[in-house]
Amino acid sequence: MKRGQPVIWLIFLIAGTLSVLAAHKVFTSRSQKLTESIQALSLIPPTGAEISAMEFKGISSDFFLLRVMTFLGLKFGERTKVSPDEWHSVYKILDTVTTLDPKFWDPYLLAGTMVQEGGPLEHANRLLLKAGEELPNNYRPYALLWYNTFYLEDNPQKAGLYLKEAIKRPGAPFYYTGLAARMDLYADRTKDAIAFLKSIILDNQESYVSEYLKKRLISLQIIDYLEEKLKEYELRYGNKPKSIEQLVLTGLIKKIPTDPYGGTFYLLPTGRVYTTSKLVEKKK
Amino acid sequence: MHAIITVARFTLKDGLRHRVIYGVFIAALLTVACALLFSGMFMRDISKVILDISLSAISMGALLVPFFLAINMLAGEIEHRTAYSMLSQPISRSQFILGKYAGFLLITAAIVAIFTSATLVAMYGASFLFEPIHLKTFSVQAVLLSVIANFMGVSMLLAASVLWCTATTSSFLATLLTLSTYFIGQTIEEMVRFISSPPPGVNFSPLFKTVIQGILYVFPNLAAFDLKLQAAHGIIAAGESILYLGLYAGSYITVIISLAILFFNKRDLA
Repeated sequence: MKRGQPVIWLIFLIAGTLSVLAAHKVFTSRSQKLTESIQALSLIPPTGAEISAMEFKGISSDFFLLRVMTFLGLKFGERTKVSPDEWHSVYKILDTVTTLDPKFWDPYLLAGTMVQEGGPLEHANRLLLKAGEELPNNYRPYALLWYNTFYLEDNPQKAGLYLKEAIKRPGAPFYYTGLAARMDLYADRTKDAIAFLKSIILDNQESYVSEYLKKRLISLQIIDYLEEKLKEYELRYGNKPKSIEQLVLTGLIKKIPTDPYGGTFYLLPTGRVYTTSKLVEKKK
Repeated sequence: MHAIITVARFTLKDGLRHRVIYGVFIAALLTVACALLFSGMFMRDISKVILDISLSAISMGALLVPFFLAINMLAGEIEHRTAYSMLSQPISRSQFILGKYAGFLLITAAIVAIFTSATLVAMYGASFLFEPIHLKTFSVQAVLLSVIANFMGVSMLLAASVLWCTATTSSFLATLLTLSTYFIGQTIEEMVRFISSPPPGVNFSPLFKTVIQGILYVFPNLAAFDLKLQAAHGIIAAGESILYLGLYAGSYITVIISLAILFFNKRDLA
């Protein structure tokens, strides 16, 4: 061994150890600054990012999304609440990601699902509407919009419209049609639901789909029929009936129709008719 | 023609002497590994992420030729007067420039071919690692069309790089001008669109508009040759648009190389 070589090895080992320790320290200190970096990243306007990314828009969008996912992962991992300002930054970056690559499904999906974790609904729905426009062959943006609008905004009328939009797209599950009709029923638009189902049945020749939809159509037609009779009762007697049975007792109907799903029709406190089956097939 | 082939072959050999291909081969292997590792961090669009990385690597690999290799070799030869030895043979100056350009194109083609193979290997590897649903948008045809368009764009930049080497006296200046050409080429289309329909309250003078629109025809519109996003989503570019791109690239390269020959013919090499 040449003279001085052990010294070089020693320097190498000490410097190597120091380098690893310093790298670890730098990494941990930077992770605390992740929030700042997310806010800084959100300040980049989408158009500015689009121009400066030049021919590397795709890979830039991947990088931006990865930063958001790392940030949210760290927050959820630490069980720390994401503040409204941080959510705002997250959704602004997701907007930039989808401007860089409008057909990238992952950021839309993240935006839609983060609502469950406290993400702002308004921003999420705006991004999902963008996805609906950019991905004409994907029914999922409208399925997520339906979920957000129905369960979180409690707006069955708007939710039904989203489901009807989803149905037009390839791959949408056939039961969405029935679900959309149910939305109309909830939104006090039973006649719209009936007309909608009739048009879908006419266009749909697949027997199992048609059978499923026909059953729902019959149920809705019964509900509509009963609600019309309730109005007639009110006109005749000047007050609302307390139960559906009163329609039979006064001779307005001969008997209460049978629910194709096996339930029993009843009067809701709101004056609307519904069924104990909730329009769902009973488990055998 | 024979003289041009000789210069092109010499340039290719010279390029290979710079260990370019070995470096590219290692970079391609790293790209495959990086693409597979990185894509695993995403939720659904896995093939899109793999292709984003791989196609960007193809672009970056190809750009090394006009930015560094071509300038280093051509401007270096002119600067250090080593071009003399070749021009003392029965080779005209125009044949020298054409041969050099053809040689650089061959090196670029080799780099692009290696990276494209790496892209296909990465996608093949992904088919073992991920569910088919995450790779369903992958289209070989879309990837190949994007690579061809990319090659055409780099060829235009390469022509500009040759022009700057013949028109300037230093390789540093040639690098700077090639970089400027690249940045202008990537952004000019966006700028022209912006000034054509500015946001409310923003006005541009007619002279400014004319200058910006003029730049679109002087510098190569490189953004038009970027089909990476479409390829990443499996969208196949229309044959007609590829044809127009080919026509544009061919005519632009002819103009720029003719200009480079004119400059080189006038140049005092003594």
